Amino acid sequence: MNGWKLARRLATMLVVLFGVSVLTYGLIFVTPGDPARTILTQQMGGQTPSQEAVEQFRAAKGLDDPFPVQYARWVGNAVRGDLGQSYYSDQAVTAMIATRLPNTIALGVASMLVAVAIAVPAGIASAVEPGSQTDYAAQFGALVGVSMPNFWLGYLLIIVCSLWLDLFPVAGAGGLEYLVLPALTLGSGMAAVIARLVRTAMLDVLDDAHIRTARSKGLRERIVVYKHALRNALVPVVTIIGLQLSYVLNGAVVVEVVFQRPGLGTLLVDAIFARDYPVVQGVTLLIGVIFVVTNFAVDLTYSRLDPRIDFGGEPT
Amino acid sequence: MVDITRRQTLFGLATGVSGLGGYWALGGDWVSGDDGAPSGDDAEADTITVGSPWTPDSLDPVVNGWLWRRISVLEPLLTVDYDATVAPGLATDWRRVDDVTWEFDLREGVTFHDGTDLTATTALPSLRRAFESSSMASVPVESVEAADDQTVVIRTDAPFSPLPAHCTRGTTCLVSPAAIADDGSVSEPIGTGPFQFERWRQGSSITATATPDYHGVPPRVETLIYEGITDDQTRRLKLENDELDMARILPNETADTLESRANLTAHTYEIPRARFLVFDVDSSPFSDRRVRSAVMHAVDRDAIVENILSGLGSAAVGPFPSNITDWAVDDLEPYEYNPERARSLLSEAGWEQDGETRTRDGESLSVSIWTYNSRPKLPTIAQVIQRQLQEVGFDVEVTLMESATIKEQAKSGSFDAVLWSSSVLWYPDPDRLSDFVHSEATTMFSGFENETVDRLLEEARRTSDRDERFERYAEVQRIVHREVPIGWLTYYTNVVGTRADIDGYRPHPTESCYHLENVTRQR
Repeated sequence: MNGWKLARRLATMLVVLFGVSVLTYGLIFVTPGDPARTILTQQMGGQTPSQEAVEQFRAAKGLDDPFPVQYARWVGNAVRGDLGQSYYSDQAVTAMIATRLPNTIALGVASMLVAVAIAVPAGIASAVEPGSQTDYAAQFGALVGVSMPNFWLGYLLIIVCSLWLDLFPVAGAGGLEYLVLPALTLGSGMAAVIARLVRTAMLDVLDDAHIRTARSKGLRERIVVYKHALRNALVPVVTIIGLQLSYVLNGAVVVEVVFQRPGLGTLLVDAIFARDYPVVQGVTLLIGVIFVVTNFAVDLTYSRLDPRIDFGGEPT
Repeated sequence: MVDITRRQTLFGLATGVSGLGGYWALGGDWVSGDDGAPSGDDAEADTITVGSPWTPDSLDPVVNGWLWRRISVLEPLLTVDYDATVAPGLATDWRRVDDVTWEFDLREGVTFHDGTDLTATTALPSLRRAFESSSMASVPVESVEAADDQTVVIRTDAPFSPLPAHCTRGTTCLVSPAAIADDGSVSEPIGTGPFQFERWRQGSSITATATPDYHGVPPRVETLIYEGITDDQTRRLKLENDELDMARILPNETADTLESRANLTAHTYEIPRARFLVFDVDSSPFSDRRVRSAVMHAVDRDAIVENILSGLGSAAVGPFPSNITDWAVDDLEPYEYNPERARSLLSEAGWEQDGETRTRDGESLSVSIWTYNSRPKLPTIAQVIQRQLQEVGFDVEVTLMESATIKEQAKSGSFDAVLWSSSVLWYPDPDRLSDFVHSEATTMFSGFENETVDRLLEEARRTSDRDERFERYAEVQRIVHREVPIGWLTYYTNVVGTRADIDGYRPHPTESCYHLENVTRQR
């Protein structure tokens, strides 16, 4: 990669992030529901605020300004690193994100590990002997994994592993023991998707000429599968793992609620329901950054896995 | 080449694992250090852990005072008694000096958790801050002054007899002047309660410890942990797994299961919260009082309580449940379940049966009921109402929307009916009725306008005498009952699960405070 390509890439990222911020600000702005009303309702313990209260709040937070003015004010502060304060709690958005991000990262990394640890061996096992009992078992498992709703699997794991077997605590954000069940819940859904892809990719590759060559050289099957086939099958798999990031953030909302983990998912959903614009904007922007960076990283990985792919996209 | 892949994979794995290891080594919390979970039986016996649906989002009494008051960290000037009346708090006595002037005598010998004495001077900053906040904007306070060392004087713009009731609200809880920063923000809840703030894990839990030398009866446990757990099943599972001593607001249907466990107890108690239908009295068909009454006769409220609320709760008659508050008027004649009567009322109003749905002048009796699902059971109840109204000739569509959207659309345009749930006494004063039926002060949206009701509510708001106020609020309840801009359906019963060895817990009807300072654990 050279400097010019990197700069072009960074410029694209900025354009994407700008687009994301305009879109989210615009979308939440046209969503019915007045932030003053919803936030005051929360501050009053669920009671409906009076008209005076709503007007005072709107004036205090600058909500009476037209959309472009509000957005410009937000962008002006954001480029200086100030994401503003929550309308609800007056806390700095950056601080709110900072306290929750570690929980979400831990959940994301752990569930991804679970997913890969289950999916890659299962996918390979199915592909090596298609139509065998192992294959059917793995495919059936994948079907169950994809179909099972997260919250349901979460409760199931809690009942079995916490109440019956007494292995892990039910819920909470604490040490590693609190991470196991949420990671299994979120990871198993992803594992199902990844396993099916590993299987398909492996089946494709195993039919390739270079595999026949490797076999005819008399290499042991294990070497053929793991050294020659798997590596070539990894390109689509890495892509899907990158794309599964969206699944992590989606799934995190449910898993964070069931397992009582303060994270980005719950922060975002609560903020959307409360119409807490600054928090919604801050979290969306961060998610945008994570996506763009991940995609970039995935692209870089391609060129390491397959030298024919240049990260700029042009063949070398 | 193959080696690089493997190295990359191993590196990736190692990064992940060491990252998780680091996370664990830091106690699983990169931000606020240890998680404070006590271990061992002795420590446990001195700790009460309570789980509730609301996550602690702020340390500021203006934002989250109702929560800090519930867990006895902050205290307001006045409190709510078990009979839902105003009772002494940090003020031992209060009186109305003239129409717009109130005096509050502060309790002697009270210190804030930072050692500052409670005097009129130290009470002023947080009281002024509270009355200036948006959520108190409907309370017409003009000034808050100190008359002498122990007397606070509050003046209002207009005669306002519900003032003491508003002085029980969480927003008005007192914090030490030291807790209020120069920019007016509150960074620590330094209050006067039996528990003092120790640690806050953002979005997750609060730890508080017994206040040494508390001015009242000292707490019977050393440590109180409050956990915000949004999901009701998770609260219940944590209770069953001994991770909570008390799980608040559980689904009605869990009460029996909890009772059947030897180590758990279910506390069920009625609270002054109601489910009700708000009719749009400005648009057809509910602009006709007979059509609104027909709905009330067509809906079988007892069946709703029995089948959907697992028998917990009761059919509502007026806004106030009479076994909780004396403000309920007891001479209202309940709308009995009587589909025949409903049918004849509709015919009287000109809606004639024509096939399945009634019509009038070519317009069919089609209505839409809006409700929301952030309160469990409302959508199910809406479906039951739908079916029961169809029996008498309505064509009903149930629409689920977000509660904020409903409020906005119902306020700005026309609608048919909204199924809503709300507390009817969240500050202990019947002036709350203004929110429902006053033509201008209302926060509901029926569009109901009745001069007599407005006059009675305004008079009652000015008058101090309890009997005179009661007469007026009673009359308002009678008129509203007759006119049905709002159809009261059922009251709420809360289910709180505790471990069976928890002693001394007494549910508070308005839930203004959990009173965990009275709770102990049998050894």
